[in-house]
Amino acid sequence: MKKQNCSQLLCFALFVLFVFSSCKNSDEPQEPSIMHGSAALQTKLAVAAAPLRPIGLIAGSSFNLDNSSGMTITVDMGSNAWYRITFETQQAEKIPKGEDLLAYSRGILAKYSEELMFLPDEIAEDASALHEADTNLRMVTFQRRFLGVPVHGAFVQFFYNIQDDGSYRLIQILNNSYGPVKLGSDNAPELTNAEALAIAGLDNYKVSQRKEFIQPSTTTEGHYDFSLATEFEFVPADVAVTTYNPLSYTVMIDRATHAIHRAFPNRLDIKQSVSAESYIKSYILADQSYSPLPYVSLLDGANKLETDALGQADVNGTQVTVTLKGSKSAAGILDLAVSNNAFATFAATLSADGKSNLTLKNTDPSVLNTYMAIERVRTLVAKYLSETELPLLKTGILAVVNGNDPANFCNAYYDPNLKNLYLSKAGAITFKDGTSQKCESTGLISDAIYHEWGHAMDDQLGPTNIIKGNGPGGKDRAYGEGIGDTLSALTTRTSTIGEGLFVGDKRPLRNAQNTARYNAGSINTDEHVQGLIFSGSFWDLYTNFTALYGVEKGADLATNYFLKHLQINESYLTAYDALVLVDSGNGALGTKGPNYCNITRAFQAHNLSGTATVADDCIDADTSLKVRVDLDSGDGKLSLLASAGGATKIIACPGAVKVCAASGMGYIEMTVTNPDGKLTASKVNRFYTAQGTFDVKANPVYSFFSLDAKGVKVGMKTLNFKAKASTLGN
Amino acid sequence: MRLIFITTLIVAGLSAGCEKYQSGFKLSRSGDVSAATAGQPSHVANVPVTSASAVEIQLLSSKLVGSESKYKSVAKFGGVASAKSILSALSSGVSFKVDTLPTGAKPDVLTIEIYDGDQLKFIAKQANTKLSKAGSVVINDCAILQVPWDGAASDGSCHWTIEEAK
Repeated sequence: MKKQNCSQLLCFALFVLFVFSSCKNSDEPQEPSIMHGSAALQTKLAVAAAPLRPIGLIAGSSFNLDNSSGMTITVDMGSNAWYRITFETQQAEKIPKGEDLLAYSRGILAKYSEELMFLPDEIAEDASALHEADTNLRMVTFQRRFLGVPVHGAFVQFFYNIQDDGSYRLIQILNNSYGPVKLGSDNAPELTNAEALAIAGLDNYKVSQRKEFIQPSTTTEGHYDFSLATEFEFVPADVAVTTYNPLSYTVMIDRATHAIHRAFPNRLDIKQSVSAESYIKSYILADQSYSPLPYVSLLDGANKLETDALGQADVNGTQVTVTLKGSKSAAGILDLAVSNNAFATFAATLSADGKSNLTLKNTDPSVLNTYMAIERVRTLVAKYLSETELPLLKTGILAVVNGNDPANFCNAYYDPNLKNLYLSKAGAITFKDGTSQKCESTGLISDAIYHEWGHAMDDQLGPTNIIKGNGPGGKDRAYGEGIGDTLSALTTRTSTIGEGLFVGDKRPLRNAQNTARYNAGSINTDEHVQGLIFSGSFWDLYTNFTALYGVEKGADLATNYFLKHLQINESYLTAYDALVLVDSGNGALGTKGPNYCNITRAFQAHNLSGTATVADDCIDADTSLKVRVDLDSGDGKLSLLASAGGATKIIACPGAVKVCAASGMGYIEMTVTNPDGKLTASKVNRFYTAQGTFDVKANPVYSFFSLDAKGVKVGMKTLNFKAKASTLGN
Repeated sequence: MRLIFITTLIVAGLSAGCEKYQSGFKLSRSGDVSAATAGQPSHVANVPVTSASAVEIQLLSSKLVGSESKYKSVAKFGGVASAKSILSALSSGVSFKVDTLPTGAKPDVLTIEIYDGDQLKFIAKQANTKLSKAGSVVINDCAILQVPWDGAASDGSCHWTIEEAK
């Protein structure tokens, strides 16, 4: 519900201003001060960044290399070694699928040893050197050694792109090896632990670990010097067992000069990670789960801290006061049951192991749940829109929980003038017929919070948005309600909205999975009811996408399209055109994008596609659909496995066809098989086994169709099977 | 002493293996050695097959060159699975011998599984294969597929390529 008449809330506006002005700087986090160590240690602790390396650009062609036109080379001016070599992906040598990339990378090291300026045997043998950085990227990282001692921070790295056919191409070499090593003194005596502690000036500390390195450093002339050094980890000598988060240090000390090369406090892995409980949809569904509690203020003794986006903070103690508002907070909560001018706070006991889960019982459940629900929907939208596109992501929004206005019991609304959310406390509503019904606090119904936040978002998106000087509610009101319901559905990936508003009633208030159709001659004047036409269309689009691409990719695409189309559209009657435009890559209107059929089919069902209609033979391409020959029985008889993003079932028919009936010649079904992790494994794809044999000698072309749960074709792909030249006639 | 004990079990297993031929994959008797010696290093079971009547399986693949100390193979045929076998180097691949699979029987699908420890790394299937005592079977590189398949790209066979229609 969007609140349009706000005169009764003037006094509310005044105390909101008071809260913001009085609390402006009170919640700023404090950096922990450095209290230990010598002046040399403190100087190094204050250096947060590594020094820049002197890098120069040299044309690849000057090296007279094969394929040099596709290369770019930068040189490390400190050593004159190649530093970064990038290759035009399609011009680089094609490396066969299944190639041992470790061995291949070692081969390149040997080949270009002179240019990279270190010997191939100066790398550590490390089985974990191969890293799957991304679906299409493999990285090989070799650590540099010299005379068996690791050179600190020195490595060479190879980046391989994976092509569609599974082969590789080398796309980049990063040579961070520092070039030839010449030790200034290779017989400097090892430091004793006592010497190291004295150099660091840490009186009440002891050494817990030490490791020898060769430490590179940059001279004033821009070249590299190398020296033997020892890395120490210092921990407090007498730490009580119950002490949480003792401050320790890692310090690199030169063995010859006793200078400190680098130092940092070890606070990285002992941060407190705070999560909090909230309802995904509603208290009545008991669907609570834990997720990080971001951007709240923590009072830890005298220290004022703030959790980051992951709910982490450097907390020393275990007893803290949580305030649901931080300096970077995207939400601030006023609990009217407690105060009308201070943000909601509560005491919490953190876990000594650094991972704390705060329950809804830590405070008023509706207060904590409202904060978490706002963060959940904000985090989702922030994946797709920038803070420039949607300032709400940065400025946050004030939410008033346990609202006590009897006229708004059983209600939640967004106030476009005050730009806050209002969520009523538990109460009752009396209907026109005199009957009444009790309802819970709407802060316990996350669906309602997503919906209202959607109104706030809606106000800032679109050609006539409020940021451009237009008044609130620029879009038509039914569209606004449909947007709120759709955002809620996309956030929870369920179509129902508002279960549990009335005490003991699990029935949803509205459902985006519906058959509501636009009829110009018969418009329901209630914007919530009329909004179902749009939310119904979009939910159908969501189900089409998830059926084709799988839940994760399909939901991702649907959410992206939803938010992108809101930037260019103002009415639900033109939403279809806007979506087609987004799908086409914002090309000319009328251009058909890759999801044209599924978009049109969804909006057509609700009479929102205008004059555009599609028939059953309009089927989008299923780019995720791939096949593999499981067994070649000869003479063109193949047993196939298939993989696709989300199809419930795949069917195939001979030829490049759009119709594939079970009664047709050569029809084959492929049914879902669970990946066993041995023969098939994927986090994103499903797998299918053919229930028949393909005869690709008789039928060199097959059309494959991805079906949804209702048997509707949501995607297709046509594949050509070509006999290899050497085996023609098989 | 240990080697003698194992060899005895393998010989006993060879004769018993043919008599107990059943449909469905069964670990051969030589594979039972690892169960009988639970707690001993796994390589104990992976002894080379030296029987004169053993079938040699050659895997002609550049991706397996130099892998003989890393990978081990299992062959499956006619409902029987061999024990894990160590690999021998060839100039252009690797080979191993099995002597517990049914020979002389009707042609069937020969499945070769190549493991790195317990992890299946490659699989090869060859239809219409007939095994004969002291014979050899050659599997070409194109039939040796990396597993698990992640579904990211289509894969053809030795005789057929798969292309997406434009």
